[in-house]
Amino acid sequence: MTDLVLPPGIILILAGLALPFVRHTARQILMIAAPLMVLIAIWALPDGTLATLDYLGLTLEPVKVDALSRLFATVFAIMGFAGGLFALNQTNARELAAAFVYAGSAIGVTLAGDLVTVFIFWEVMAIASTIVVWSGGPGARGSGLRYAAIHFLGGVFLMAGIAGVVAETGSTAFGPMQATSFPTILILVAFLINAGAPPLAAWLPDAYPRASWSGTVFLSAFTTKTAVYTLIRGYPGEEILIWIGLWMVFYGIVYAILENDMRRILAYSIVNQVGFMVCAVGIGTPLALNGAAGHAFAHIIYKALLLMSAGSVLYMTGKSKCTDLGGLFRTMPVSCVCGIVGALAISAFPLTSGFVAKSMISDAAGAEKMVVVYFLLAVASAGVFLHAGIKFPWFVFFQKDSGLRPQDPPWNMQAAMIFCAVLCIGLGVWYSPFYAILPYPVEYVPYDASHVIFYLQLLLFSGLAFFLMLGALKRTLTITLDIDWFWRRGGRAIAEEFEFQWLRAYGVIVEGFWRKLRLVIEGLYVNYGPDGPWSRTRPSGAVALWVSVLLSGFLLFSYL
Amino acid sequence: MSDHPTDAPGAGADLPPSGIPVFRVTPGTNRHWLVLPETIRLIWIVSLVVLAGTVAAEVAVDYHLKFGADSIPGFAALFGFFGCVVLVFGSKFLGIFLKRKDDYYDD
Repeated sequence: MTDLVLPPGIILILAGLALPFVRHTARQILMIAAPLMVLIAIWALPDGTLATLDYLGLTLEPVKVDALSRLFATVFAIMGFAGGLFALNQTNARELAAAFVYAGSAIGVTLAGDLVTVFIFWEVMAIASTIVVWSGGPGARGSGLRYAAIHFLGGVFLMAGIAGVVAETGSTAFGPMQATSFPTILILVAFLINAGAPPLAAWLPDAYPRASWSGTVFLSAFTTKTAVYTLIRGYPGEEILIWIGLWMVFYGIVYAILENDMRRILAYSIVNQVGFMVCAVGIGTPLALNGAAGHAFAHIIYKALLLMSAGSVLYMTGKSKCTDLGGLFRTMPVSCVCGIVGALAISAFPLTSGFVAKSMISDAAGAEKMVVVYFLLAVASAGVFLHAGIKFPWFVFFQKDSGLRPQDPPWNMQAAMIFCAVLCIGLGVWYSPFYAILPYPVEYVPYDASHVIFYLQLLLFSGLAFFLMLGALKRTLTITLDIDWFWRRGGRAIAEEFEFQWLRAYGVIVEGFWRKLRLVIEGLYVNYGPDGPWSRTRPSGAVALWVSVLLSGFLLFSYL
Repeated sequence: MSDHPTDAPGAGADLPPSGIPVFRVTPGTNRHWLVLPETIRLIWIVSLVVLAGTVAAEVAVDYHLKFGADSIPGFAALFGFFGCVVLVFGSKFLGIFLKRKDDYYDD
């Protein structure tokens, strides 16, 4: 009986593959219905290993459910629904198909009980998400290639690591590991690459803003949060993650402050937010892991909301740079208000989902007496409000009057935004049901008076700092160099130097060859040419003389 | 190369992905009540009152913070404010070395 349970993610993958072959209303119904069916399937499954499979002598567990996997699968299904609703007007069937396969395989990873199943869905995600990036148009080709290269590199690390773990332990089970042996370090590196960890984080802000107005919404949800899930499952309490997470937090803030493209600002803030989660995984206590999982859940929804708001602006105006935008609140009130709700949630304002989730992370650091981590997370929270919470709505919807008067997007896009906005506030106000589905039992009270006042002061005064420093934050037509310079420019510089040196060497070799050849030809000419000693004509009298000398010599010697 | 494919010539003469032309006006015409100087002054006044209120609220409740941070009045306010100042100017400093024109990678 248990063998009949298929991974619920398969429903989304099949729906995705079917999407290009159905049209209009049927396609729209499928895009709405399939994620809801998956959601029902996830909640219909009991805890435990529900399917086993023997493959190449390995025992696989394609469906294994517990509170952690159900939490992530749930939010991925919700995201599939909201993203599908938002993307109903997307005419590019290839992107939609890829997005659904991508979402389904992310759910596949969260419900995988063994590393081989994780790997399979991991690679399907990499392929499908690359297609989503590429669907952004001609401008996305290079970014998509770089994106694919990084993720396939991660896939190689993951496969090598899994092979090593299976060889060492004989088991494919996916449970807590420690990064003490080479294979487990490889797996950790693979997970971190997908999380957007240093030094390879540049793939994320490079590729995500190149996708279409709807593609970025899907991209923001799955890859990095699947990585967070695998880190919670595989490496809870791995101390180095605290520092990697903090690096990501501040990297995201600094780059987002300098950025001009609204969707790239939000992409940098994904790295920033995932940094909070990675840091929490490193702290590793039940409170911290609840915080990481809860923050991932909340983050997927408010980040999707922010990118839907940005996507609506892009959809209606075709513009993405802060320098071209501004003043859109006049004619896009729904996108503006929903964007502000998302911005408040990402900033962890009280009464939003971000607050009830992120508070657990900082309090977990506090409970472990990690003073430095605690205060760095606090200043980072202020920085989030600065770089995403105010910066995004301010520069897109307020700032100067750009003269653009676009309308709000079609009803379904508005509905998707309102749905996410309601969730952002709903989870923050009625947090008990949310806490009830977290992986560990929660005895945490987010709305403690001191805690609320601390956050209000922290956030509101960083808002004051923003408006007092507006001059320093003025947007410029610039991008900011990242580690990917090394393969986007540095690699080319090396190639150009190689080409230059090769041309020089080629010159020397070819010239040398011709010089040698000329010497040979000239030598031949000197000896065998018309004036050469070997082609001199000799008078026949001289020949007769020499022949007679030879013959007389022969005669003389034959008598001796 | 344009920044976004939809800006590319041939992708429907300057039409956004929605296919609906963007209505434009001269910037600054038909001023919205929200951007009038009086409104902005009012927003500043209300905001500053709220800011002061959050600091004043410390005395109204049993205020306690981790690691004894509550011994400094308005600690979180100062921390948030100066934290952001450091972040912005730190970023700008790094930007001196890292910023390039946005067509840097285009050929």
